Amino acid sequence: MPKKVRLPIAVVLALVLALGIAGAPGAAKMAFETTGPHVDEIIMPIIKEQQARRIAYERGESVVWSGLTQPEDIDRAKAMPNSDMTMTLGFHMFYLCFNMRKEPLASQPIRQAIAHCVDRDNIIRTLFKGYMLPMTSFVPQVSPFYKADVPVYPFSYAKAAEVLDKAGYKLDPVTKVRIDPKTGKPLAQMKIFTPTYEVAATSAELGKMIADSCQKVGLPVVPEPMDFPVMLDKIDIRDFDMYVLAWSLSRNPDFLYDFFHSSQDVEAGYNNPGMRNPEYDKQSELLRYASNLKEAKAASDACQMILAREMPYVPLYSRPYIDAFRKDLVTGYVPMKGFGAASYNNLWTTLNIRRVDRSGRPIEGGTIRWALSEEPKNLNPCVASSAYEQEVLSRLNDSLMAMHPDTLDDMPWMARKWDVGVWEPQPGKKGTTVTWYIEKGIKWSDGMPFTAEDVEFTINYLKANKVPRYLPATQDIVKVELLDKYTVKVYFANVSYWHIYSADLSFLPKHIWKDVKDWKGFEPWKEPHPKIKGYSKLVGTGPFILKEYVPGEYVRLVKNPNYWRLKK
Amino acid sequence: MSQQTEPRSKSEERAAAVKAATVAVPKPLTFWEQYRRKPQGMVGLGIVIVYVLIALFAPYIAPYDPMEDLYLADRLAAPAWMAKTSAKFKDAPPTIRMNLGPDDWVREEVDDISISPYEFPYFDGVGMEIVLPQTHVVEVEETVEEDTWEEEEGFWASAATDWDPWGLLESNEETEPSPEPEDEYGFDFEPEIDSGIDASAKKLLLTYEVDYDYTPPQTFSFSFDYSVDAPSSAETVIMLELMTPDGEVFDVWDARVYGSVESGTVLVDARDYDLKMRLGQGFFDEPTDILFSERGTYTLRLSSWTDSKEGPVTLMVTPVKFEILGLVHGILGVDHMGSDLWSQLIYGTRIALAIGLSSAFIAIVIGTSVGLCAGYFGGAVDEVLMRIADVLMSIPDLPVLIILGALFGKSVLNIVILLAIFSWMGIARLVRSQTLSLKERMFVEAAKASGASGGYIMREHILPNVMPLIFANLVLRIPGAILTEASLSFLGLGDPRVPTWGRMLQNAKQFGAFTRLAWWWLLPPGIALTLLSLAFVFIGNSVNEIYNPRYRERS
Amino acid sequence: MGFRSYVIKRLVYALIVLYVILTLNFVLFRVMPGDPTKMIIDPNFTPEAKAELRSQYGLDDPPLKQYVTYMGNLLKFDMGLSFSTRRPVWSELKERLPNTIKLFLCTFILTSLTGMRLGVKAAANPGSFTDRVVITAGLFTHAVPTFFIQLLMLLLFGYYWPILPIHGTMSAPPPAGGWNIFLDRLWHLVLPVTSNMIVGFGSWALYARNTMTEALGQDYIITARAKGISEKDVLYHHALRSVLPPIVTLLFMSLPGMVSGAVITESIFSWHGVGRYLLDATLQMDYPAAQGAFYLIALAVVISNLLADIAYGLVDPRIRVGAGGAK
Repeated sequence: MPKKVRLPIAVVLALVLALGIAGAPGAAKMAFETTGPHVDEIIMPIIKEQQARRIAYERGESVVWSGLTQPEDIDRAKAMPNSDMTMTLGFHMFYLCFNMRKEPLASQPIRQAIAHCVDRDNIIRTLFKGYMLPMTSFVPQVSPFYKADVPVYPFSYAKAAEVLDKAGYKLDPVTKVRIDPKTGKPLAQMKIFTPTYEVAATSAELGKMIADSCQKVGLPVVPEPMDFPVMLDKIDIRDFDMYVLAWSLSRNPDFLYDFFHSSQDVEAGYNNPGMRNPEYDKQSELLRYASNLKEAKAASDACQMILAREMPYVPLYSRPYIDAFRKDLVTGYVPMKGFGAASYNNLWTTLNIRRVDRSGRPIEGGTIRWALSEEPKNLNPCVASSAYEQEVLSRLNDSLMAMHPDTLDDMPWMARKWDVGVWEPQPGKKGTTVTWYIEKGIKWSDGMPFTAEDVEFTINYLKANKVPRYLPATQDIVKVELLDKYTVKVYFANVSYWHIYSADLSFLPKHIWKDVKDWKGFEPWKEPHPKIKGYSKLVGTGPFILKEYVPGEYVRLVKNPNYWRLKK
Repeated sequence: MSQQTEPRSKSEERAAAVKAATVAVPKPLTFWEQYRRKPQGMVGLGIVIVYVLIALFAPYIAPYDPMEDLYLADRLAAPAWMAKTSAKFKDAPPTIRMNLGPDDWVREEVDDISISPYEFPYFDGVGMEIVLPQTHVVEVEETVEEDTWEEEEGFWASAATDWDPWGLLESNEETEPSPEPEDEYGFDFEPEIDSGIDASAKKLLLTYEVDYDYTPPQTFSFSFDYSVDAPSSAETVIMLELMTPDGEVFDVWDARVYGSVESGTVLVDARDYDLKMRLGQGFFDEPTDILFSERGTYTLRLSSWTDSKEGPVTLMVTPVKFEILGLVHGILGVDHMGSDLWSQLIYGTRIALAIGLSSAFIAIVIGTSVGLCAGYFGGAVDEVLMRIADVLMSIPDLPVLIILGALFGKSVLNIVILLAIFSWMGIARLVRSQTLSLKERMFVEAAKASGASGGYIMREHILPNVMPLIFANLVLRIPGAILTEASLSFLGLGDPRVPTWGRMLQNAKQFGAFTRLAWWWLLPPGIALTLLSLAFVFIGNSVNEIYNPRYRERS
Repeated sequence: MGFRSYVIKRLVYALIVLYVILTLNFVLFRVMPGDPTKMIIDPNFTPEAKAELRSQYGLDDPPLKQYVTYMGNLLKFDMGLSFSTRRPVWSELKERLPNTIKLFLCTFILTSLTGMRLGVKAAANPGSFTDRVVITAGLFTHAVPTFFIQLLMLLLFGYYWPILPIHGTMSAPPPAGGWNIFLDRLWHLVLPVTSNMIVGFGSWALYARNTMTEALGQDYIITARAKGISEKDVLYHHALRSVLPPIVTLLFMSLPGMVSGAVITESIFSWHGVGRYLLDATLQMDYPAAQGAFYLIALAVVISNLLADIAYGLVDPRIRVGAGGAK
C-alpha cells in the first residue's frame, strides 16, 4: 500500500474548486485553444435510455457518457480503464422551499428548526453514494458571487429542539407534536411535495428522510409524492407547505431578485416561498439594477446574508457535472468550471475536442460520435428552449461574448470589445447603453458576412414579434442604433449591468429571416437553402453546420468551412 | 402486438354474444364433480390457493417491509446464495452491523480511567460513560496529535458554523488546525509539537478487532454520538482510527473539544468526500481501495485524552455502530434503495390479487346490471346503454388509462375503478343477449303475468340463469386486469405507494438491473405475474368447458 | 333492412363514437394541469413572458371558443402546437407515423401468418406436437405480460449477448446503398417484432385451430374427403376458405389492443413512434400533443371497428337483419 502523501488542504481545495477536477490523474487539461474545430464531423445518435447510452459508450459508439448521476453508472464508467472521468462543480441547486405565507411556516424558528433537521451528508451518501455536493448557500459555490461566510444550519436534532423550545413551541409529551404558542393547539400537519418515486426516486426518498427527521423533533411533517405537472400547478397557485425541486442557475446572481423579491410574488412569478422582506427587496433591487460588478457583488452579499437568516429555502445539494470520456478515442475536451466538460454551454470542448490515434497522439479531422440523451425536437432558434435543443444549436451558433472556462470571465468573441454607457431615455431618467464592436470577417455558414445589421435585425425581430423566449431579454430594450457596419449600440430603458447579457442573443441571419412571417411554425432545418444546394435555412456562425437530422435517430454535424475561428 | 388479452376477449365475446343463445346451463350441483375431473382447472386452483396463502401470510413469509425497510444492503446487492455459486460474487460480504458497547471493546488498562456502561434512550445496545482524570503523567510516545482540517472549515462550508451574527447558532465544538500526525500513523512526520494539549495526558484506548474475510465491500461506516462534560478550560481529544491487517493506521475521524459539548454526532462513511480527502483520495476514488481492501483482522481504535487541570472529564459515548453494507443479501438481493426484493415480490402478491379480483368483480357487477337492464327493458334503454358500451369498446384502453391515471391520480382504488370501467362491456353484451332469450321463456312470461315487478323478475328469474356465464367471465377477466395494472405500473403510472410487480420491473429497468445483468431482479416478478394469470386462465377455461359445451369441443 | 342501410347506420354510429371520444378528449385535457409555461423552468423566464406565451397558445380564450377552434382544426388535421417542442403536433406525428405503421404491419403480418399456419396444421393433426404447442401458446398468450418478455429479450440480446440493436429504427447513420438501408432497418425490427410475435401468435393459432376443427367436422368437408380430394386441398381450399371471414374480422378488431401494445413496445425499444409520443406527451402533460396522438389512435380504431362491423355484416346476414343496431 502506498504511503499516503498528505496534500495541504489548500492544494486539495485548489484542485477541486479552481480546476474543478478531482480524481483521475491527468484529467486536468485546462489548456485550450480558441480556434477550431479539430474534427470534420460529429455524429450524434439519439439514445434516450441511460442503459443504452452506457452500451454505446462502452462499444465506442459514443466518445462521451455525459451527465452521469446514478452511482451505478459512475462506478461503471470509472472502472473502465479507457475512461477519463471529469467532474466540475455546477450551477445546479436542489432545495427545499417553504411557503412563508401561512403559519406555521411563516414563523422563522420553524423554518430554522427544519433546516437543522436536514441531514445533507446522509442524503448525499445514501441516495447518491457521495457523488453530490452538500449545499448550504443560496448562490452555488462555483459562482464568483458565492459568499462563504454566511450562517448555516448544521444538522442537529438538539439544535432544532432548542430553536423550537426557545420560540415557545413546546413538545406535547403525549402526542410528541409541538404546540403552537399562538393558538395553543398542536401544529397542523405540513406536507413536503416531491416528484413521484418513478419520476425522481431520489427526490421522493429525500422528502421522506427530511420528514422523518422533522418528526423526531415534534414537527408534524409528512412527504407527499405527486406527479410533476400537478406539483408545478400547486406551486403556481401557492397551494403547498413545502416542496423539493431543483434549479439550474447561472453565473450571474440576478436570479436572487426573481426568486425572492416581493414583486415576483405574483401569479407565475418565481417567488414561490412568498418572501416579502423590505430589506431584501432593497438589496435585490440594487443587485438587479447594479451598474457595475462591484455594486452587484456588494448587493448579492447582502442578499445572501438576509436569505441565510430568513431561510425561504433550505439549499440541499448541488449536482456536479460528471462526464466520462473515452481517452483512447478523443482528447482535448475542456472541463469548464460550472458547466462541465460535455455540456452544451461549453464552447471550448466543441472547439478543442479531437481524435487520438492508437498511440494516444491527437490527430486532426475525422468523425467523432457523441450520444445525445434526448431528441433536439425543435431547432427553430426562436422557440427552442430546452437543453436538448441547445445541445445541437449551441454548436451551430456563436455569441458575442465567450466565457473563460476557468475564471468564468467574459471574453471578447464575435464582439472584439464592448462599451457600457448611460443615456437618458426620458429627462431625468437613466438607462444603460451597450455598444458592440463586431469582429470583421465573420461569415454565416452560407458564406454571407455577419455584421451589425444582423444584430440589429435579430433584436428588432424578436422584439416586434414578442417572442416569449426572448421577452425577458428584449423587453427593456428601447432601440437599436447601427453606428456602422460593424458597430451597433443598444439602448435600454433602465440601468443594469446585466443588460450586456440581454443583447447577446442567438442571432438570426437577416438574409434568411427577413422573409419569415410565421416565426412560430418555421422549421428552418427542414427547408432548403435558397442559394446553396444541400444546405438548409438553419444558418449560423458557429463551428458546425447541421447536415442531417433524422428525428428519433441521429443528428449529423459537419465542420463549418466558413467558420471564423478555423485554424489557418 | 402486445396485451392482446383485453381486446381479444372483447372480440371473442362479441362473437360469443351471437352464439350465447346456444349456451347450455348444467345443473349447479354437478359443477364441483365436473370441475374435479379437469386437471388444468385443479392446477389453476392450486396455484391460486398458493398465491392467496402467500398474500395472507405475507408478513410471515417476507422478512422485511418492502416500503419501510431500506438500506438493508448496498445498492443492487445480489442474492446471498450468489456468494457461493457465482464467481463474480464469490465471498462477497453480506451486510455486517455491529453495535459496540463497553463489553465489546478491549481496553488498554490505564489507571484512573473509569468506564461504566450507560444506556442511552433511542440507541440500541449499551453505551459508555468514561471518566478521564486530570492530567498528571507525562507520556510522550503514545500521544497522537490529531488532524482536523475537515472539522475546522469544512470543505463544503457545511461546518462553517462559527459565524453567527444574529446569535442563532451555538457552537461549542471548536477546532483548530494542527500539525502533521506522526509517522507511525501513516502520515508524513513533521516533528512539530502542538501547543494545545499537554503531552502528559492520560490516554484512553479502546480497541476492537474485526475479522474481515470477504472481498472488498463498497460501503462501510462508523457512527456514534458523544458528549463531553469538562471544565471550560479543558481541551479534550476524541479520535477514531482503523488499523489494517498489515499494521497501517488510518485516522478516520477526530475532534478536539474545548470545554463541554452537549452532543456531537460522528459518522464516518466510505461514501463521504471527507473520508476520501482524509485518505488522500480524489472524488472518484473509493476508500475501500485502502480500508477493508484485503482479508484479515482490522482493528478499530477509539481513543481520547484531555489536558484538564481542574477536574475529571466525563465522556459519554453511545454504542459505536459499525456497518458494512453487504454486496449480497437475502433470497433475491436488494434494489437501488436497499429494499429487499424477496419481500417486494411477496407483498406484490397482495396487490395483484386485490386489483385483479376487485376490478374484475366491479366490471362484472356493472356489466351484469347494464346487460340485464338493456336486455330486459329493451328499446331506448337498450339503445343508449349499448351505444355507451360501443364507445367504450372502441377506445384503446391503455392510452386512456394513461391519461386518466395522470388526471385522477395514481391510487390503487383509482386504478381498480378505471380498469373496471374499461372492461364491463363484453359481459354486458353477453348478459344482454342471454336476457333477451330468457325473456321469451315461459317462466318469465308467467312471472310477468302474475304481476311481478321488473326488478323482481330480473333478480329472481333471469339472474340465476346467467350466473354461470358471469362466473366464468369473472375468472377470465382477472388476468387481463392484473396484466393491465402491471403494464401501467411498468410505465410509471401505478400507485407509487404500494409495491407491485409492475413497479419492480420498472425499477429494474430504470435503476440499473441491465447494467448489473441482475436477472434475479427481472425474472421473479415476471414469472409471478405469468403464473398467476395462467392459473386464472386455467380455471376460467375449465369453468367454460363445463358451462359451455361448444367450448369443450374446441379445446 | 338492406346491407346498404346497415352500413350507413354503422357509419353514423362510428361518427357519433368519434365525436364523443373527441369531445371527451377535449374536456379531459382541459381539466388536466399543464400549460406551455410549465415546460420552461428558467429563472429568467419572467411572468410577462409566460403570459405572452399563454396568449400565443390561445389559452386565454373562453373554453367554448377553444372547443370550437379545436374541433374545427381537427378536421383540417391541425392539432395545434406541442407545449414541449412548440412544433405543430401533426408534423411531429407525421414523422412518427411511418415508424409505427412499419412496426405494426411487420408484427401483425408475422404474428397472424405464423399463428394461422400453425393453427391450421394443429387442426389437421389433433394431438400432434404442433397441436400441443398451439394449445400451450394459446394459454400463455393470455397470461404472459408482453413487456416482461421484451425486457427479458432486451437483457439477453441487448446486454448479456449484445448482438441485436436495442433502440431506434436504424443505425446512426445508416449504411449507404438502398439494399443496405433496407437490411439495416429490418435488423432493428428484429427484437420488437419477435418479442411481440412470441406472445401474440398463440391467440391466432388457437383461434384458427378451433374454427378449423369446427369446420373440418362439417358435412361438406366430409363429403369433399369422401370425394377423394387431397388432404391439403381440403384444408387450404375448402376448410380455410370457410373460416377466413371471421378471422378477417378478428384482424380488424385486434387493432385497439395492438395500439396499447405499441405504447409499451415503443417505449421499451426507444421506437420513434406514435405510441411513445402519446406516453411522453401524457407524462409531460403536453396536452395538444397527447390529444393529437389520441385523436389519431381513436380515428384508426373507429375506422377499423367500422370495417369489422361491415365485414361481419357481409359474413353473417343475420346481423344486419337483426333487431335495431344491437348485435
